[in-house]
Amino acid sequence: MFPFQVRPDQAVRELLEFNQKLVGGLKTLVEIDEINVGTTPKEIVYQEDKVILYRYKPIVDKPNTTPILIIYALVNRPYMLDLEENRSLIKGLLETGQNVYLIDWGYPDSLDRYVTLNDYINCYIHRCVGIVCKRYGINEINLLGICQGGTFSLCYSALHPEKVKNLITMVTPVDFKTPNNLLSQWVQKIDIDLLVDTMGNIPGELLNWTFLSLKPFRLTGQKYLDMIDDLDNIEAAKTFLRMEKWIFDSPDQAGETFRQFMKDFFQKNGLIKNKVIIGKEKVDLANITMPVLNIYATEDHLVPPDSSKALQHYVGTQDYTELAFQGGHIGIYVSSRAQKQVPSAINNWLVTR
Amino acid sequence: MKNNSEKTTEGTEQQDWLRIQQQYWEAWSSLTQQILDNSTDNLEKLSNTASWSDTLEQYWQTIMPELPFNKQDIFKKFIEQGQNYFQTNEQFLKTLHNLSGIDINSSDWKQLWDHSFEELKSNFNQFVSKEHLRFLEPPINTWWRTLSSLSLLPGDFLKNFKSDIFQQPNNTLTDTIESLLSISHHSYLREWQTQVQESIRLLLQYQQSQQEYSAFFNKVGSRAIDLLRDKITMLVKEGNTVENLRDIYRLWIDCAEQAYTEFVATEDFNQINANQLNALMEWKQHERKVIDELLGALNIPTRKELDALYLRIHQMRKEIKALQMEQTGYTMEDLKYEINALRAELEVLKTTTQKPRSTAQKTPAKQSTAKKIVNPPATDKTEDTPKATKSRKTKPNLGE
Repeated sequence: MFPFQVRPDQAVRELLEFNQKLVGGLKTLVEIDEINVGTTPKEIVYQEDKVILYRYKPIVDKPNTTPILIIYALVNRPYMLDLEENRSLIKGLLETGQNVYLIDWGYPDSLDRYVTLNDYINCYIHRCVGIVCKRYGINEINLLGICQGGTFSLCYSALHPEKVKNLITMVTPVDFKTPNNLLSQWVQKIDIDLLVDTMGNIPGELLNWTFLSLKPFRLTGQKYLDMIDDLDNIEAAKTFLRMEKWIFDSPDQAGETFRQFMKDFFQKNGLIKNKVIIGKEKVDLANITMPVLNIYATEDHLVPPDSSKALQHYVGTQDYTELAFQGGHIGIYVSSRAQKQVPSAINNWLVTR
Repeated sequence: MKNNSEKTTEGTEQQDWLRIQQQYWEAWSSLTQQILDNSTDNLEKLSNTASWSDTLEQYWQTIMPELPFNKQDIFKKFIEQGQNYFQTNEQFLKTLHNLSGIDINSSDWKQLWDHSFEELKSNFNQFVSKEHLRFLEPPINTWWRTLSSLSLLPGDFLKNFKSDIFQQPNNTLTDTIESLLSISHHSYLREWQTQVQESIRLLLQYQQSQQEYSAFFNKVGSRAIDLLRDKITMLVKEGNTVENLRDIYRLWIDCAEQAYTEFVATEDFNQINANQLNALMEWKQHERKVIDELLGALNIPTRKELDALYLRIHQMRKEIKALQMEQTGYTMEDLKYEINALRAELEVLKTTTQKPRSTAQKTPAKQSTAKKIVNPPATDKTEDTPKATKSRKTKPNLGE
């Protein structure tokens, strides 16, 4: 039997219907004015250079006395964690009673060309942790590191274990050379020194291109085609536009930080080999003796699960928990399933420690 | 509140929008009717959807000036994908037409089947070279867009070079360029000429790497079609059917993504990809040096000087922060904290002095002072905060 049972008149009608949806959907897009992201109320607690430390307004009477500080990646904007009212990891954490702080790295420019990993980890993060500690008269707080921010929080926790009560990592690369890590394979032969010496700061567009190139047909093609079916739904269209805004809102990367991150972490896989030096100190994951919750996404195409799960072999803690989220690297922040599972899982883990 | 002129402008825009929509739908309906009248019995005739894609392009050209600037990008993406969809269907409908004529019970059906897919591959390559088919444009487009952001030149300035021009043996153009590059110079412009030669050499190197990268996608396309053939054959064997164009398109995307993943995970691709970026950077760095020399000659700050300046600013920023910490030792928040601590201690002392001497001796003043140590400012690793004493945990909650 011939497998394609598409009648000619049916094909015409299908194309006509597609076209109607496309043009009708474009009308919906015209009707949408500005789209807002990151709307959960927050206040600025501290600012230094481009870095801003935010505190989200608690929504329970007695939030957790040990605050949780979120450290996000440099390569995208942190409002993905608070994309819209019903897709907000931050709101979810607040609802569970967590006292949430977040570091926003801002948009590095030429003046930040020489900002190093040491500046990010031993200065900015360390000062933000210090500020939060002082606000509560405590010595240690909970850290939630996400993606590259998870790697930063691992470095920080290894260098300053006395400041971290509990460490949570989400979709965090640890072993940068697992066999299925396409991103890592691509950068092995790139002359990072030449790239940084030539470009100074690394344009966000370049990183964006790299991420989209991991699944180009779906991420730059099919995604739009599938969205056409829902474009007449104004709320769905707004969510889509928010996602689009986030995807293409890629800050440039401070040149020297990029250089060290790519060479030491991606090319040398130094984090698991104790070969990363931040400032003057070696990062030894065995120093991570506080409880660790490691959350990874089973369908993550950017940070393969194996890359995250490797953490269990290198940390020094006896209290290590792993949580698999059924979804992808983006779904873990914004999917409906994530809203139901992730904040409550983090809270449940924290309240028992 | 909007004034009258704003309302009028808004009304006019609305009318323009409706007018464009109306015109588009009239054109579209006419086209569709024409196809339905003439082609409903034949998939092949239906496959002439290039005109559908063209109509969408015309719509885009008409509507673009009316759109707010911040909406144009996202509109363009949807339009491009719509065109992509139509053009992909055009190719598939042709192939499906050929396949539908094959009797799978005949002895030579496999041969005919393969022939149809070889034709699709051939069309595919032909279209790619003519850049009419958008099968594989997403990854290449993304690269060109990125290139634009990295270069002073438009991202597609090499796009129309023939892909094999530098790969042909005894190529006149290549030979001429190489001869030009090998000319020795003895004039006072020697250094300048050397730089120009080097610039051309690096540009050619980049051009070659860029062509290798583009050629790579032709391989992905061929492999994707092979995978598509396999999947269709599997459908036949399993007696399954596909009943709409969208599902065919999805099948194609699955195959394309699978083929792409197979290729980009290879050492060859890692090299091609790295070569392209490295070659671009080498060329760009050389250009930068040349431009720096020109700027220097004109007494305009060079990139090198600016970099030195940025480094100095960064160092000064750090020095200032270190000095601030060194001189004051405390931030305002630390001072507030210390005042509160001192007040608390004063209260303790007051209470202590009212107690009998024997009790007071049990709490020596020196020990009390030691407990007064407040939280020093959180600074760099070298000035790390010491572990707090238990007493600090009972101090007032300053942040709340």
